[in-house]
Amino acid sequence: MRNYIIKRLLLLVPIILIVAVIAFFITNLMPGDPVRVILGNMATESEVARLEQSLGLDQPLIMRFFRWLANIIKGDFGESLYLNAPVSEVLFERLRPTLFIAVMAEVMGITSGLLLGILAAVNHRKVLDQFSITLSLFGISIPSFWLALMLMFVFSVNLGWFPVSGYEPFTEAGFGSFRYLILPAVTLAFMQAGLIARMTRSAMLDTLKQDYIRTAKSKGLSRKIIVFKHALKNSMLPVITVIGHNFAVLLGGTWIVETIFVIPGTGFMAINAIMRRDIPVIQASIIFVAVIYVIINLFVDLSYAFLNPKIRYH
Amino acid sequence: MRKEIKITAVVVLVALVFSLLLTANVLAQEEDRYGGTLNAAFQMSVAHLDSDNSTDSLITAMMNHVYEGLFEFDENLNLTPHLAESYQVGEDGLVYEVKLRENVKLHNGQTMDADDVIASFRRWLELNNGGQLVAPYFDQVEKIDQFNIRFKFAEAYAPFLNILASPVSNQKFVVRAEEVVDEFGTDVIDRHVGTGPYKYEEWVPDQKLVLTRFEDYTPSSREASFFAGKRTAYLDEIVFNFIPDAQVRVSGVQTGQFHFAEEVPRDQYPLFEANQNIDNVIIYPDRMSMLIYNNAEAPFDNKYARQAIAYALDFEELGYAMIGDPQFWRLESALHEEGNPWHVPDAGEGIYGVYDPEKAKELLDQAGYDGDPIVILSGQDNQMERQGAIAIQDQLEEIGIDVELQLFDRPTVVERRSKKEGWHIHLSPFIKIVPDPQIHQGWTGTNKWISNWDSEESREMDQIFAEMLREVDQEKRYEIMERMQSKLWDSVPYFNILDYSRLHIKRAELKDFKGSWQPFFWNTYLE
Amino acid sequence: MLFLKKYKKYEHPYITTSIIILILLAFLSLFAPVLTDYNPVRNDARNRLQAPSREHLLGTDQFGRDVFTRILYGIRTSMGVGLAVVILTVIFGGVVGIAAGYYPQLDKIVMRILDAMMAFPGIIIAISLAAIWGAGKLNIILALSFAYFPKMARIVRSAVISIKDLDYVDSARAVGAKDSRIIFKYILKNSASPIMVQATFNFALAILDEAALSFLGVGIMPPAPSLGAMVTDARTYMVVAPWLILAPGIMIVLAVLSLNLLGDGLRDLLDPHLKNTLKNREVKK
Repeated sequence: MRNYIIKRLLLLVPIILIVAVIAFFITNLMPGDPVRVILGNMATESEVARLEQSLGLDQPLIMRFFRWLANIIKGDFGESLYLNAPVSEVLFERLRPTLFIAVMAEVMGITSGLLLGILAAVNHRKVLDQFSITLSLFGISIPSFWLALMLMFVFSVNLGWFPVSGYEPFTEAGFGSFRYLILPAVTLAFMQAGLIARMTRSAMLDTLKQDYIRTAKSKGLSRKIIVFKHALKNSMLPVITVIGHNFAVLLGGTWIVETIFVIPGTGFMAINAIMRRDIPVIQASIIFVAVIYVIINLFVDLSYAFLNPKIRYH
Repeated sequence: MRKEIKITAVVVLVALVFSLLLTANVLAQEEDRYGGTLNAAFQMSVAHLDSDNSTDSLITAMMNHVYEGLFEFDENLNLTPHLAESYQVGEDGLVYEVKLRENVKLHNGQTMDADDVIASFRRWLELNNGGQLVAPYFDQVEKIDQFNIRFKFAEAYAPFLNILASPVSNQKFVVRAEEVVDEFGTDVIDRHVGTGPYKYEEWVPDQKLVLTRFEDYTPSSREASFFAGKRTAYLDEIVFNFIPDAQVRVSGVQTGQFHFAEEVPRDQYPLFEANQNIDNVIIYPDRMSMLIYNNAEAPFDNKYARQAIAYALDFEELGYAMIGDPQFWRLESALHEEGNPWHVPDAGEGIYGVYDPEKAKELLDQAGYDGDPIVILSGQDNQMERQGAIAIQDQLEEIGIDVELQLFDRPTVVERRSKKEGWHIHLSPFIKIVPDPQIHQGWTGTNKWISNWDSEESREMDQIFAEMLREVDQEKRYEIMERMQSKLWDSVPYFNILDYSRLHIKRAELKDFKGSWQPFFWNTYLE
Repeated sequence: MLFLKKYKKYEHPYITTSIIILILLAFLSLFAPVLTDYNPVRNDARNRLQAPSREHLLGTDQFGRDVFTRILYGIRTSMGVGLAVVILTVIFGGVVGIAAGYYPQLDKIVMRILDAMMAFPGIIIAISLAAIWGAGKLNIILALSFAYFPKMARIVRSAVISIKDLDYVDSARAVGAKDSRIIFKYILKNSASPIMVQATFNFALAILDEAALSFLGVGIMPPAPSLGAMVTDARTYMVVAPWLILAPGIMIVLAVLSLNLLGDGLRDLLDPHLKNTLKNREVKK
């Protein structure tokens, strides 16, 4: 097991490296000059040149790439062009709301997704099954930004149950800060629930027809025990995979949802950075998402190995 | 007799007590005004707060509370001495002597004097966009004594005082503490020591700027009027929140989270009108939508082609498409609005607002236009630019002119339009409130700003401009202005389509708020 | 065709429903010029933000354009983008997947690169690319195809690997068939099912993501109508003109929903594993 983990960890290195290369060149090839954005509408050419020089943007791209790579290996992502602080610091600061949203959405998505999926599977081809299928289909078919706007319109603008947007940090507002995060989390949970419900349903259906379930049935075990003890446990593998693979989708979703609800998380920061070409922040955001994604998937694979002894050590 | 005296005494006594109570009451009311934190929702965040190192006018809008100018404009755009006590201009327009107000305290506790002004001025002259306009004509600044300064010019430069107080971009000259100027030099200042009624407390980039009352503030003795005169800091604290989404700013005011929101959707005006907790603040049309040609690229290197577009567009239809409700926009052909001393009433007669597609086509033929698509380059993030570009494309295509629309995010637009080729028309909001014709935002002369104008006509315009710079006499300058305006409408390197207002909203409990071109929060209080 | 034969055999309600909806949408968009008298881009700003009426079934937008008309043309744009993305994804993914699956010497390096690309959420790749190349239909299509093809390549690769060592492929190779022949004759034909299922889901995803890109301002260039851009523009007017945001949103949901339904149906139909499941159940009953 330990060797397996080490091997998997080593495999991450080339992946992250490729991500870094892509991140660097994508951001530097973007049209739009951050220097001119900083200086404003009426900047003169000499002002532009002066700022370019002081930001080191007048150096050749290749030189900048190697210096940048050397720095990020040391954990230094540079300074934000706008936020007046080191990127890693800013990223860390903005992590909390994003994490809250992602975890809330994932918890809501997993509970309702599992529930819907199980209900559908045990009521296969009955009304509840149809209901669950339809609901989960809607979950994966509604554009998240549209759903977010609709939720905002109904629950914040018309009913006034939640603030329209914004965020108060946990340290200032305590549990009040969750009021800001509920709608964004629900938006994202909707899609997660849809994905998880669909996978749970089909995995459960698959398991329920396996021989050992039939054996259990013939032994006269109660339906509840069969479903929850045997079938559910054995259906978890594909469900966990879906959760892991879609965590990246979830993180991508936070980019849009945070922008709509104006929550100062990593996604809002990333979109903002793209819109004004805060290059170090864009680079760090991309690498951050990629690292989270590969780590989550590493955990998924490890839990796979843990849950299914057959593929352990391989 | 005695009785009368008694009665008189009683009456006097009652009157005395009464008036005392009244005064106390008034004083108490005045006292009541103090206190509270004001939360304002602003549209955009800024990269830093050093006005000399940027052209982002929002910096000045916020830092007006922290820094003050030697001169400031009042409600009627009259130049008023502010940190200056008085001034004298030499007859030839080459020397300005300014006497400073004494005993004005800086936020670091020191008294502001000539050294602070001179240090700030030199930095402004070197870095600030306004300063750079002045610099070629400027000679030197001299300290006469602790509170007297002499500005000397090499060549006469008429707009000097107006530019010192300019509301355009970040051109305004503000006084900073000498020690800060020395410490930062040309670098971006992030320690702010000024003379204003509020001091810098905290800045969280992208989120908020917090200012707190400066207890030792020394107000001007002049009558309060917009930026000029007496400033009283009733509010304990002002928080500028940066909220890019308009709907969020609106909801914040609706729920009471914010007391003021900048630039909210004009189409929601009736909703605010119906809400008794919210007041609409319509700003006097202080923006104009400017259609700018790339004068270096065919077909618009020819003035007939440029004129043609003005004939080809239905300006009124554009008003509805760009801005919406007609109470927020009006057609205006002159660069300066009515009421401004530089307003030229008959500007653009015969071409402005004349919708004549046939004439437009004739003019295009005359210019030898070959039918290549015309590229309109504009930003996605500004409603006027975006919707104006779409509407102009539609109108031009309707009369058979091929148009390619290029709408990008700000960085791309800024980069592309700084080039000499690849675009033909760009829309841009200009600040209308301009106290001097020579400090216009994107002054078009030979190769000024982005219009790439370099021809016989542009050099003629340069000459008119230079003549106006030298002329100190107001009436003669106005005559030159008229010439400039008619020249502008003949050669049309750019033209103003219409003037429009912005809509701000505020909570009803924010009292005595004056809606000016840049929102300010002194002399206002929370009830 | 294989597909049609099976379809008749099982008569799946999902497929039928979704195909009906999709045909309806295709009809609406293709016959838009007949169904409406309005031009989707022509302005009439003096009549802006009109509520739905007999004249304008779904009202007008901020330029006074007829919303119903724009929706009809918007479906055309969205479906067109989706279809183009699917075709490009299948081509890119197919080529890379076959190369990786068939030639083991390429496999390792290709897979590492694909892994790295999949470590970005697709929408983030698309945002970045669209920002680089600029808005516009072609660029959106390229950006989305680029974002989706790694997954397609992986699916193709595993299909190829599972097929290429089967006996009949081996025997074809032993007889001396060329690589190209083996790939086209055996491998492509037999990996068609998973490709088709994935392609359908990609179609749905492409419509969603095109809308999201428009929302972020890097989508289809105005004034061309696209459902996503219509939702985005309507945002400012959500309070005063809710029909502007409801109608295009519902259209997106409808299109994506029916494509997902179709994908589900196809998977049930074509996936042999699930087919067996169905058979077993029938036997049981």
